[in-house]
Amino acid sequence: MSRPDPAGLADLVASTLGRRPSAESAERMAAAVEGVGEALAALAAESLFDTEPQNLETVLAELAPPAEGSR
Amino acid sequence: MTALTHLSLVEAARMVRDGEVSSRELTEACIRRTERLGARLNCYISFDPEGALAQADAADRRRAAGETLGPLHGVPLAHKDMYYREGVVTTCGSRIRRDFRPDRTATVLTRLEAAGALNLGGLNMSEFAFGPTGHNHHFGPARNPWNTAHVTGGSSSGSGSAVAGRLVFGALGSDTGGSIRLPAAMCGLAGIKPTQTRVSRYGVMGLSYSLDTVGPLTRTVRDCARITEVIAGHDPLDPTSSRRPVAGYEAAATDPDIRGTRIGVPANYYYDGVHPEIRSALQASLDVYRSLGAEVVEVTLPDAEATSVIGGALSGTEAIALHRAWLRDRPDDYGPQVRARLEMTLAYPAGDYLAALQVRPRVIRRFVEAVFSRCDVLHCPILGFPVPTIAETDVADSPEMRKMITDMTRCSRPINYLALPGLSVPAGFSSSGLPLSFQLVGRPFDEASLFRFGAAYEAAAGWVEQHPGEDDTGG
Repeated sequence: MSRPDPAGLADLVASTLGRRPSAESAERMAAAVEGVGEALAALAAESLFDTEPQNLETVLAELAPPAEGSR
Repeated sequence: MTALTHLSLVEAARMVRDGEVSSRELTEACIRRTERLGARLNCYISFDPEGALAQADAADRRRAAGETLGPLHGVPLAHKDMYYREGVVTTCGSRIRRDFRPDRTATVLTRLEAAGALNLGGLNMSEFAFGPTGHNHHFGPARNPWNTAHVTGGSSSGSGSAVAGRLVFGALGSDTGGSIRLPAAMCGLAGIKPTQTRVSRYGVMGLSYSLDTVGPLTRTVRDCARITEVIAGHDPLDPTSSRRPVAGYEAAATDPDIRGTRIGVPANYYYDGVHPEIRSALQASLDVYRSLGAEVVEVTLPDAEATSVIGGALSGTEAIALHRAWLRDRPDDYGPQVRARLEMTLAYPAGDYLAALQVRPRVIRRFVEAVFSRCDVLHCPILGFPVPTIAETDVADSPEMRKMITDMTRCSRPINYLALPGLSVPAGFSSSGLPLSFQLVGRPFDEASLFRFGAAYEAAAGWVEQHPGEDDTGG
């Protein structure tokens, strides 16, 4: 994953908030976005096209121990 | 004789129920201690002694009338200042909500009161619950009762400070990336982040819909179990809350037999860069577990690094959805660090946010199947370095800010993305006298096991008998 252009991110923030972040802030944003992209790739989140949607509560219930006990 | 303020919550409740002490006496003891130490610890945003005394008198009248008493009857608590009560100012630790009067009351407050608890006021917190140290640009930092030069951890900073300082018997915090477990760990308390959806969030300030959880900080594991049992369970006012029955948490905490169980220790991620003093304390705690009959097994955790990063991005993106208008129109009403962190999250692509949500159930399943097929609970660090000072972590929006926050939440944040329950358990003290802790993580909705394993260690280790000296708290 390549690092996004900090100036482009600064434009994005400026268009939302009406003020431009510093160059240093924009660099930090770019690094953060890059890190998230890498983490999603590690989770194989880029290949979701053929996966069925799942409900969080259902998955948690399936993975829980029997309701009455803790062992 | 133990001072009233130094009793456990469970023992205080028993004494009120048995008539050995009145709720008024208990409340007056907390008020006196708060008047002596509260300003030094800076743990309250709003303190309401008159209101609490009126509640105490009502509790004493109900007992005298022979009414059925709840498990928290007559016991003073106080909560992070983000739990709404209709008509009562709730600041959320912010300037923006300094005068905010909610139009509803949080279900958890209603449940605590139905169980007989009193409320002494609103506790200090990181601004909008968005910060792991306990700094607050508007109200100042809450201070650690074990050494007031040190941070409490955040964002439930006042909850950690007030409970550890023996100003109150327990407090609610909230946990989106570690905000209960970190202050519990740094203040020498038990603190649980329950399973996602286990506790209602109705009437609770939101930070991140996908990750926010509600739970208590207390001085003993059993105290923690009692409060959790009161507040957990489905709430019709919070459609995201689980309908699953609540297990016997306090019963588990009073049945600390863990013979024949298995405790997992991470083979990867969690011990990377951990300070030797912490490593040593955690090894000692594992020796205690072995002596109690548990087997310690090594487990490899899938996706550990990625879940930490994604958890941070998820909470930040959902926070900006709530804060965008204020951030645009009232930027100067935020503290510099919170403003900088919120602004940074505007850059995350929508596609990444949605992918993080979509992949989450699969990641949870992968983690639970890999880890809990090998062990009953996972035992790991909650903070990888000794409790820092307030000065060391006063980084505001400087370039060091992101690294400091990432380092501090490294062990806590993955558990939020995984939606699992996590319990901070005190594990002794550093060479400088600050608390050390470990974290127990369980399967979804298996809070009972965390309370059982936490209580077993607590009883065997004996740290719970120690408390901060008055000199430490400046009193």
